[in-house]
This record gives sequence, structure tokens and C-alpha cells, in this order.
Amino acid sequence: MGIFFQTLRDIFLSSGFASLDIKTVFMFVLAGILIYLAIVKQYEPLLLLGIAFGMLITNLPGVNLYHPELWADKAINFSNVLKNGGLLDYLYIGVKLQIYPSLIFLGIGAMTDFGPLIASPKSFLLGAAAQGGIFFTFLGATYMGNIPFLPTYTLKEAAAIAIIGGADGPTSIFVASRLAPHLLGSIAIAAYSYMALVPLIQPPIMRLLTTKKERCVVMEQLRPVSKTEKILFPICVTLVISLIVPDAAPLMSMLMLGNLMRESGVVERLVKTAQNELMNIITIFLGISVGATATAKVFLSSSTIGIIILGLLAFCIGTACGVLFGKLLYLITGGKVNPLIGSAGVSAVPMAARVSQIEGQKANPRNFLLMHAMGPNVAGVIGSAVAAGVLLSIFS
Amino acid sequence: MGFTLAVTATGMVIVFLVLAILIAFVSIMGKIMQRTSKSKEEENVSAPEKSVVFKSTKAPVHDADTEETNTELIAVISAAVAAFSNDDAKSFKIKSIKRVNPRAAWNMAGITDNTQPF
Repeated sequence: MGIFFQTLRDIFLSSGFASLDIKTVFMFVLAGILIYLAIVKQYEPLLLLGIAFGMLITNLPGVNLYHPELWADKAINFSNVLKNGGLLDYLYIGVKLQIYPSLIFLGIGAMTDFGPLIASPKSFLLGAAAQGGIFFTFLGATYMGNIPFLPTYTLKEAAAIAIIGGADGPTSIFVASRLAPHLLGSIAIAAYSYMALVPLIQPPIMRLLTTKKERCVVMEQLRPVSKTEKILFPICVTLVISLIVPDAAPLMSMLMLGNLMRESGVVERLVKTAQNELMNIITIFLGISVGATATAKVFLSSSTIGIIILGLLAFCIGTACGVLFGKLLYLITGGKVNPLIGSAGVSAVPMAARVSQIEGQKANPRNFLLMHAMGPNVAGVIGSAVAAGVLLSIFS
Repeated sequence: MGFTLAVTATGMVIVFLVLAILIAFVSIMGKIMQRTSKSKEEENVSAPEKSVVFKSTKAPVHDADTEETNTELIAVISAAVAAFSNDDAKSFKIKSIKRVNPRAAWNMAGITDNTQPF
């Protein structure tokens, strides 16, 4: 009889319940809120659900699925990881080695049509302008320490946070996992949450910075793009960018490979897999691994609050830069470019393009800006990858 | 202070530069493509001329039975409208049928179709 109670007591003591503290419980509540946002409000559920659940299970005490200490050193001891790691450690290897973000870009490339960009190359400039969100946020993050009550960031951390302005999930994860791995969870959650909020964040800024007349501009139809151009484009872009900014090579080459496979038309099966099965598998692994890094110690610190503020700032500045450059193009081309498509340079594909379309229709119901906005939108993907490469080459 | 500003400036400049290079490449590529496709177009111009003569002989025949064609057209249009308003069980009266610029309407329909997934 005594043995029964003894065993019960031992099980209880060695169970997680005994070592629950308030911080851990708070993380559970937070994970629950994110799960609610993913399922009910449908904020980027494909990734957010995995991230939220990863956050839940990584904070389970005594379960040892993820060990932050294994990943803390600059030179990671992988044999140690394999010997002492838990399930989430093994899955995290793909994040640490840059495999998951690159493969997601492969899938994205297979789903992207660069036609509108090729037809109107000046969209590249709008895609470049919107990356101002990244660099001005970097400034903001570096100087945040000077404001009382707000956290201070090292240069590397500031760069990792700044990349949220690229509005590109895989790119943020790519940079954060190298420059500030301890902030990866917060950065990824901030990035994906703000991407889901693009339809709320962008319109006020777009309306503030443009006049009604500018918003009513109807753009002329895009020229048709030949198949040859669509095949040469990815090859060209890969060569140019990988040679100039080698740190962006993994992301860019995978993006362009996916696109080449799609445009060539001869590898239908591979394209279907890249668009569906591959994307899904990697998304599952990525979500869980990223969520796993959001341990209570790291997440419930002042740095997270700073990341939330800076993330919002990044999106706002990026939108503003894009729209302002759009106004510049409007002036230069004598009224041919609608500044609203500038905000689509914030590379949340295709959400930002949809927002430009809706705002354009609000001003002029017969205006169809979607295809024109897709140009800057996909240029923004390329732009944010280049910006990521620049930041990585400076800071790593 | 200086370093961070330098990073910001360098970053923006490099991003713009790289994308400007890409613009150059894409524009050159586009121009080469357009020149090669223009030479192909000239070959095709001679072929359509024959079919044009055919059309003009058919046109006058239409005027004779305009009355009949119009009522047929009205019937077809009413049927189409009825088929599409499938949640309205009530009957309707057609007051007038006006012809719009047909190309614009089809263009709009095509665009809406293509942009549905977004």
C-alpha cells in the first residue's frame, strides 16, 4: 500500500507539474492566444499554428524537447546536439543550416509569376524603395536603448529585427537564425503577425501620403511577356545577385530555380511537388522549430516588447517609402504611375498587392491595379533578399 | 552613430544598385525580344488579307431580317438573365437592352476571372 502512494508521489515530483512556475504558465496562455489567432482569426495559420504549438511544447518543463544551450555558441557542436538533443533540436537543425527558408523560397518561386515585373521593370525600383523599412528600422533598433523603459539591442540583434521590414517570413528567419538566434521566436512571430495585419496597417498610410487625383490614375496595360524572357529572367537574376551579394545566394538561387522550373514547362511534376508537398512539409517543420525557440526565458523579456514596436515601425516605414517613391515615379512619368502600387513593394505576396487593388478601386471603381501591383510585390521579395544579403555580409 | 548611419546608407544604395542592374538586364532582354518578334509579325500580315473580302459579302444579308434577329436576341438575353438570377424566383420585365462596347466588357470579365484567386 505504501509503495503505491510512494510511486504516485515520485511520479508527481518528477512530472512537469512540480516545476511549473508563473512564467511557464504565462507562455502556455500566450501560446493559447496565438492558436486562437491562427484558427479563429486566421492570421497566417499555415505557419502561426505550428509556431504557437511549438511555443507550447517547448515550454513544457521536464520534457526536454528543445535545449537552447546547445545552440548558444558560435561554433555549434553537432555531435552534442545529436547525442543530447530532443525532437525539436533535431528539427531545428534545418533552420540553423538555412535549409528550410531556402526550400520555402523554392516553393514560392514555383508559385510566382514574374511576368508583371518583366513587363514593367521600373517596378524593381518600387521594390527597392520599400526596403527602406528594413534599414530605417535598423536605425531605430540601434538607438532604442536611448529611450527609457525600452530595451537596448546589439548591432547584430538590431539587424535581425530590422529584417522584419522585409515583410518576408523565410527571409526574416534566414537572417535571424544567423545574427540573433535567441530572438528568432519573437522575430518570426512578429513578422508573421504583422504580415497578416498588412490590410490594416497599409491603407491609412497610403491615403495619408497620396492625393485623390494620384489614386485615380489608371495605368496602361502591361505588354505581353514572351516565354523566352520568362526563362531568361530567373537565370539572369541568379547570376547578377549571387555574384554581387553572395550572402543572398541561398535564398535567391532557390527562388529562381523554382521559378525556372515553373516557366520551363517541362518539369510539371517537380513544380507541382515544389508548390504543394514540399512547401507543406517544410512549413510544418519550420513552424514547429521556430516556435521551439520561444522559451519563457527569451520571450518574456523586454526585448520582445521592443521587437513588437519595431516590427510595426518597419511595416509602416516600408509602406511609406514605397508610396513616396511611387509618387516620385508619378511625377517623373507625367502621371502614368499610380503611387498606390508603391506600397506593394512591401513583399507580403499577394496581400500587399491586393491592398493596392482595393485602395485603387475605392478611389476609382473601374481601376484594376492588381496586376500592376504584383510587379513591385515580387520585386520586393527580391529586394528583401538582397537587403538580407547586405546585412548578413556586414554583420556575420 | 556614424557606423549605423553608414550601414543604413550603404544598404539602401546597394539594394537600389543591384535592382537597377536588374532593370537594365530585363529592359535589354525585352528590347531584343521585341525586335525578334517584330520580324515574325511582318510575315503574318500577308495571310489575313484573304479573309477580309469574305466578310463584306455576308454583311448586307443581315439588314433584311433585322426585325427577326432582334426579337431572337431579346429572347436569348432574357433567358441568360433569368438563368443567372437564380436566387430570384420572381419574374421580371425587360425594359431596355443597350449595347455597350463589347470589347471592354469581355476585358473586364477576363480580368476578374484571372484575379479571382487573389
